[in-house]
Amino acid sequence: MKLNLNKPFIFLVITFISTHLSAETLLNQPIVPIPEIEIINPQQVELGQLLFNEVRLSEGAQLSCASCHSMSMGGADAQIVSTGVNRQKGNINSPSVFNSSLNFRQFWDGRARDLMEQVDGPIANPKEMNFSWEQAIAILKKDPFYINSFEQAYSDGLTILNMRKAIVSFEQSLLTPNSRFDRFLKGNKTAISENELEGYKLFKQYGCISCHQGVAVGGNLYQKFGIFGNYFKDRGHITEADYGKFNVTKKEKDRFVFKVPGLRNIELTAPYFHDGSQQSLLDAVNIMMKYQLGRIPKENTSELIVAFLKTLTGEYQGISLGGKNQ
Amino acid sequence: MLFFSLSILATWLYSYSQVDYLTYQQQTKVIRDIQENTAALTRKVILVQQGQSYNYDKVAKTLNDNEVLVSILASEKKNKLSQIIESWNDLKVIVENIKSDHAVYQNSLKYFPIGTEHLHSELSTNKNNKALIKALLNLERQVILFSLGHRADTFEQLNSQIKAFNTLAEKLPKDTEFSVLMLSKHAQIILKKQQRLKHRNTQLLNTKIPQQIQHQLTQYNQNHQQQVNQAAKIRLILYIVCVALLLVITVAKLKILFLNDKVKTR
Repeated sequence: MKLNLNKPFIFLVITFISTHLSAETLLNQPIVPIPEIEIINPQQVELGQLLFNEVRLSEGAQLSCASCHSMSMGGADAQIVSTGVNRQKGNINSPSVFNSSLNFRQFWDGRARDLMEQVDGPIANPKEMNFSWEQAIAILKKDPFYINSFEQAYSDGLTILNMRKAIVSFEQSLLTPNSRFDRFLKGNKTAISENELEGYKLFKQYGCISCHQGVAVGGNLYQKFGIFGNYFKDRGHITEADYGKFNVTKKEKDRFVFKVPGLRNIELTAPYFHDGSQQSLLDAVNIMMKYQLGRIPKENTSELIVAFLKTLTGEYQGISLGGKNQ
Repeated sequence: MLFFSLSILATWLYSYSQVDYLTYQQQTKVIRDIQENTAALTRKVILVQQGQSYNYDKVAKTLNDNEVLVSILASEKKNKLSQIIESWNDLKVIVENIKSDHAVYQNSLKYFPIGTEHLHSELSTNKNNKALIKALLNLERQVILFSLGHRADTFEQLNSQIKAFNTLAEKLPKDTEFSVLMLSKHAQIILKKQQRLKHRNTQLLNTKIPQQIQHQLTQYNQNHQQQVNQAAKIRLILYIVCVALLLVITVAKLKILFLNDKVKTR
């Protein structure tokens, strides 16, 4: 018996099988695309954005959260360590505020469970904003604009809790979806170049993926800095900030242990590491190869990995953060 | 006087005849959720290690969700609950350690055969390296067997084998010696982390949380049942008091009617 399969039917079957197989392959990747942002209460987010940029939340109205977490600088400030009130230098590199809600803990040493806990940190830090919520609310209560805005956004109006909630709402909205790599993961095979794809394969082969995986490409576990060598001894001048999680737990095994940072938008957030010691992404990758992975990269390996890392730059408010290459 | 006394007694009894279902439901829900999340967390940690889950996101999320629930328990400040909180804090550390160790272990496990191959081809260029190549290939076999959990040399034996391998490499050129030392470090990590992961997985699976929660649930249920029984008794007394109250009212009413009739007949 001869089967009567017409051409369109065969085409449909082939298309189904190929799309199904490719989709399955991409779904089984350790990196997951950032979901689309779902803003439940835009008023609260807007209010949070205002507070994020509000200098009156710091001593002498000198700076705001945005001073160290600028949207135009990948959510950080391009400094080795940030400058706080009265031109005081901080102890540690400012992490990006973009995608911070995807982190399993907040701060380099993971001392805050979530953004609600984190938000109390910088405002009270004497080297950062050196202020208190009580002082801040006293100032904002004199401003009819804030009183009205809070009354519209929250049933109980302007309170310390609502101020914190508003900032957290804004921070939660700072996701950067739709990077070229996310588009690739969603099935657009032309979203990244062959070199970049090669870089991704090397990223997996060389073991970077062991720690940098998940939706944030990191940010979901702790790791010791210096597994295959003593990074801190080689770098010299060890400070308290280098102790990482030890500063929180006081347990010896947590010395030099840090939250693995997410690599989203990494090309925009130099200098790198908690100490801001590396200005170039290539140097940072090579340091990771040496101290974390115990590998001697072949020629071009690190360059290709850097090319892949640059595909992780996403969009904020529908506009690519990277500009070129996007 | 009797009427007022009975009324007060009835009101008092009524207030004690209520059962606090809401608190009971809230308490048992939180504790059951912790039980479920703990089981889910254990499962998710194992799935990552088995390679069936591709990242730690779900583990991290479940851990954080449970952390929130445990903080609700912590606010209750009951001695019995402190055992659960303590066990949870231990479990949290175990999970975090498994995540960190597993990441490092995976890296070395994936690289070790590749590194061996690279080193093998590097050493093969010199005929004098025959003994070292033999030691390298033997080490590769033993380490992989060890990582697979098959019978291989013991941890201590393998460790001394690695040290002997490093000694053999001392005469090599600096670059090759560095490759040997790096590979040895990977081998050591495989041995150490495999042992550690085995131990930590045992700790994870032997957590006391399920038993402690079961015990706590029984406690909650018993307390609740006691409350229900007590309320039933109080309601019975309340019923009797109400009947007595009705009788008092009826007697009083009859007395008034009787007195009215007497007044009318006069």
